[in-house]
Amino acid sequence: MITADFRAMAESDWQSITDPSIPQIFIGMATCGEAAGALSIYKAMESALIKNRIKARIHKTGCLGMCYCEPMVDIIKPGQPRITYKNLTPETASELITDYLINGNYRPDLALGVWGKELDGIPNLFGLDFMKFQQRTALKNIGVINPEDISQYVACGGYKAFEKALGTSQQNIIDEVEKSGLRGLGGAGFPTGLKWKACYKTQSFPKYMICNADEGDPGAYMDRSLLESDPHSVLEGMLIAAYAIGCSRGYIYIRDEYPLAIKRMAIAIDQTRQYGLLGDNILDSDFSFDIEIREGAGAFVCGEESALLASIEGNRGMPRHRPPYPAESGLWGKPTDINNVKTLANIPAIITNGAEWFAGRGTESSKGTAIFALTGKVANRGLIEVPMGITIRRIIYDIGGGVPDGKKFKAVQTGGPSGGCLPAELLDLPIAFDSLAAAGSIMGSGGMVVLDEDTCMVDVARFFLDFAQQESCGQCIPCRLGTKQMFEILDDITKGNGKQTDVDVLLELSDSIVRTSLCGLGRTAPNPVLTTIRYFRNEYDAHINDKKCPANVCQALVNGGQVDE
Amino acid sequence: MNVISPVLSFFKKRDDKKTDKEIVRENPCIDCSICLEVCDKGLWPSVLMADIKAGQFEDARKHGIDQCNDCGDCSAECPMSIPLYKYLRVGKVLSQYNKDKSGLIPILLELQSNYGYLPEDMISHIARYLNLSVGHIRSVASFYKSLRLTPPGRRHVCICRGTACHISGAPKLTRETEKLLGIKEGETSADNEYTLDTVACVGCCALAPVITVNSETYGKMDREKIKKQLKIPGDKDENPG
Repeated sequence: MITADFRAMAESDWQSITDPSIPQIFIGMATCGEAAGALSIYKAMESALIKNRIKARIHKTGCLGMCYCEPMVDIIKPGQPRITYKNLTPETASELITDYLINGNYRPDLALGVWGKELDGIPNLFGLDFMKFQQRTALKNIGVINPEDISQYVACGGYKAFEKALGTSQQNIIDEVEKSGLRGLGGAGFPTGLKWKACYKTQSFPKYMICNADEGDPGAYMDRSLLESDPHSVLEGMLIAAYAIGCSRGYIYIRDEYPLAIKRMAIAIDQTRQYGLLGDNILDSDFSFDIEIREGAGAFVCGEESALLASIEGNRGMPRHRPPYPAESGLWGKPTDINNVKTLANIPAIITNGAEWFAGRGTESSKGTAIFALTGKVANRGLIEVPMGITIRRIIYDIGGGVPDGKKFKAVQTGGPSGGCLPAELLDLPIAFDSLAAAGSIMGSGGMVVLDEDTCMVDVARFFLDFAQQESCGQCIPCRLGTKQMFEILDDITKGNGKQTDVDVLLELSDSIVRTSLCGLGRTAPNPVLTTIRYFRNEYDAHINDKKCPANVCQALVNGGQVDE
Repeated sequence: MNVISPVLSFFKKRDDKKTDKEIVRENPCIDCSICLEVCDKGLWPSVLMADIKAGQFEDARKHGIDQCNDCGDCSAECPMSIPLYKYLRVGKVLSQYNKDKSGLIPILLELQSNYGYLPEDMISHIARYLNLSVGHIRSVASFYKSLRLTPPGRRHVCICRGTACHISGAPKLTRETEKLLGIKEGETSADNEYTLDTVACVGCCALAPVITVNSETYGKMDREKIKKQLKIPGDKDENPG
């Protein structure tokens, strides 16, 4: 039960962390932080504290999204602002304890930024290029709070939106979400409000609510980061959606490649249950709802909603024909609402601040913010949340800091295996669902991989088709055999066996696959080939006619066919 | 693949022509109740085993199987060396789930996390419990990439083949690791030490290229780091050919 007492207690506890009497240390411990060595930093700092007999509190937070600075540590010393340190090693981490906590030297050489007004030699964290163009809504808590502690989420205004939603009618909430113009951030961009309305109107019970956290797109990891760093925001979004639609049971479908996300989500669910936010008669209302975690088992196609349903039901994850859409006949034939992690994480902010506030940002048809995982050949790699309509140039050059090592930018890949590669000419394209679709790519789940001049576009197309043909469920022929044929043609081209007619055959095959496949996997699988042919036709010609790979990537075409190891 | 284990042998049809020796081999329990005496939780492992063998998971639950803490004392003390803990482990997982098809994938994943793969006999256990055909379970297990029907090596190495890893040199890394370990992708080394696989994306794209070893993630890998991480002795790959 979220009583005033609990909220007050959580807030005073949070107060004692942000304005502490003993030093507070925050270590970013999401998967990427741990892979970068956060665990050894944790041990080094702990032993340095014990050795110097310093009383301090260590918090394990999620990740701030600045993956290029991992491992990161934040320190709040009594009377001082929160300072973020970057790229620490166990040695520099223990130096930091002695230098800053004992001698008062805040080590500007190790610091990244300070939360608030700049100190001597340390800039304001939120004034950094990486942060200043961002508008964080769904990501506002990541790296700030401890994801395993519900009270920190509550202290930052958590579950207020849900309490507000419980006080209004279901129709009101659906109208609010519809008015906000929020579109599904899982890739397809279907208006969330319409989906909810369809499910709400279907008169069949029980209804199910599913959070799709099967983030299979290679090159995208914002869902993982959200689940690991702020699981309660997703739970709150689910609770609001379930209340609005009238669902009695929910599932979170997380892929099993994300063990830490599963663990943190399980802890979060336990805590919400403990505080009466899940279960029967939530917060003394008539609304009863419970959530269960379902692990995916390594199938990309299960991100498609009907395949996901089949997987939860205990079958092979194979998509089926739609309509009927899940909103009418989903899990076990009952109405089911399926939303992506990022969509749900936006819901509490819409309920708290109102539809107008949300609709005030973004473009005419794409409202709000977009979350991207900026990776590849770019200086500042990480998670960003930017308003819709921002240009690609701003993302790559201002936020991302451009292409490192003085290399030339060649293309940016968005939308994973369903998306496409956009060339330098389109750098000023505003990011929105429709503009990306017009350019031949898609918004997708939000992977944004920057490719430099050392990347061969034919090889990239081959890579995605290899992925698509491996992940095809094998149910419909265009996808199963078509992607395989396309992959083999591309493979031949990269091996120097390309024929003059290959590009035309690829275009023809793509056309049939796009038009006749059963599900989104097949319908979008040719996109990487179509966009690379559209924008980088010269590279295909060089491979086929001159038997040369301009980027020197394709092994068979460099060094006269000698494999360079 | 054909794994013959004690569990499987029990499910074979009882043959009256069998000698006493064979019958004892199939059900070696002599009702000495030593397992009952050694169990910290006060369970009777041989009774639980009988429940599980008979597919009576409700009875196993009534007899308190969920309290079993996998200590293995019962098997260690058994005078007939019956691998009681094996039955208890399978039974404990199965009895947690309802007799419902929707429990299939969670059961398979949990059993796999205990054993590293899905032995043939376990699939028949699950089939009996969930009232599904063995064929259905095999079709599901072969569909999902995380589910294995063959045992992996002690170090399960997965190289990420996500987009960011691909352009940061994952294909080259895969070739080099194949050479280092002397096995191809998807294979297990002869000494059962390494299994090499690829994974779609582990979501650590900023640290590309990434590998995972037994579910631990390591970023910014190259040949030398892989060698260090996998503790590969010597330079056997330096030999030509």
